[in-house]
Amino acid sequence: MKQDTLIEALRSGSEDAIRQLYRLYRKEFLHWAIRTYNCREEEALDAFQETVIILYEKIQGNEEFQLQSQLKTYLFGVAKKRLNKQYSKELVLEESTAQFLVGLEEDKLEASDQVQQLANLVAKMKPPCDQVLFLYYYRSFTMESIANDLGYSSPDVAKTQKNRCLKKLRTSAKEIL
Amino acid sequence: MDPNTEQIDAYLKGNMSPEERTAFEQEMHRNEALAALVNEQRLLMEGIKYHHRNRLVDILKEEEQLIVQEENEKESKSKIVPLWQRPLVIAIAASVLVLVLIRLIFSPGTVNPEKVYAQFAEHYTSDLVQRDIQMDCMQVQEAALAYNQQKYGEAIGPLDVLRKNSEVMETCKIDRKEVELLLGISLLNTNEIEQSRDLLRQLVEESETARWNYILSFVKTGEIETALKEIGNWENPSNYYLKRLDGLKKALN
Repeated sequence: MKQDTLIEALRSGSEDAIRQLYRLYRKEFLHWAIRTYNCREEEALDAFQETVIILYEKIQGNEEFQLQSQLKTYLFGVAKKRLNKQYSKELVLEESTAQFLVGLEEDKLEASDQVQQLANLVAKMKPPCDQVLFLYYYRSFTMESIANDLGYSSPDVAKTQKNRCLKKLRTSAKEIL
Repeated sequence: MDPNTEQIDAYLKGNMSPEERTAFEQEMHRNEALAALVNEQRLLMEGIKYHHRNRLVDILKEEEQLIVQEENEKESKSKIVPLWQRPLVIAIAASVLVLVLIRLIFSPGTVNPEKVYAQFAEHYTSDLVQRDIQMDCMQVQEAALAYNQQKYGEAIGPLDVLRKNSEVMETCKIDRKEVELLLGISLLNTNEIEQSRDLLRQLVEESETARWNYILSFVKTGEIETALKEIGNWENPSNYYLKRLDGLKKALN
């Protein structure tokens, strides 16, 4: 698959695309991480999985995302940021990669117990609420896109549905919040 | 609907202008209830994001398992000797194929043990011949070479002598169990079923190759129920054998 096609597929939220991205760079990444940081394979695998997710989220939530260099450069840039911090190394990156990394939250994939409990409640939500909240808060869809995607008659209807679902989640999470 | 929900969303998603943002933060300082509401909504957003990240983590872990499984299967396959490179094997295989076809034509619909055995039997290659062996250990080489060339009849004698000679085994650093495995397989291939089974039975807990050939010994003699029972007794087979066991079970049923 060509890089542009892969990015397009990642942007559309395709699960297949994230699997392909994982397979495409896994071997090279593990080899690089183990050699550079002298870490165990399990640690390198954890770092790789986090990196793939961070890159995926960055691309799929960003309609304007344009590649200034190879996808691989970004992937390794994200990983360097994480691993250099973990192994106290100085971070040296190309300008475009450094730009790309601006705004990426630190330790993004970690969560407090409270957030984990909330995630368990989200997992129990049923359609359409699970879909609406996913599209709006995770995939950063506009109300217009949500309306198109889920077949609502207008963006306003989608917005009302989103607020209703958020209220429902808030009510079920009363004891956690 | 809470009147602040839209505003809070815009704030948390970074959709406010710098001026709007400053004004909203000043309002939060003044209004504790609003600040609490913003914090609640932030946590709900994080919960939603965390749930979906967990799904992605599960997808990647599943993919990782698939990759490891594929690599294991590839590794197992590379250990098998490419049979099609052996003229003798091709001749034997062709003869077996003709026999199997004849049997298939004249007895359709029933399990044909010989056919199933021929389908699932595979040569396990010994690496004994590749080891750096001293001159005293030439008989090991001789036995292993005959075995690897699938001259099972010729391999049986030297292998049997070898396994009874502890001194040579020690000098040549040979594991008795490996010799017994080769002997068991050779006996199976020369139809010395009982002797073969006696040897293989003792090795089934330690060697999957031994267990596989032990099961095939029952297939070869047409003891289908026992073969199926032994398949059922095999706990946690490796991926390599898991697929073969499934295939064998289907062929026997």
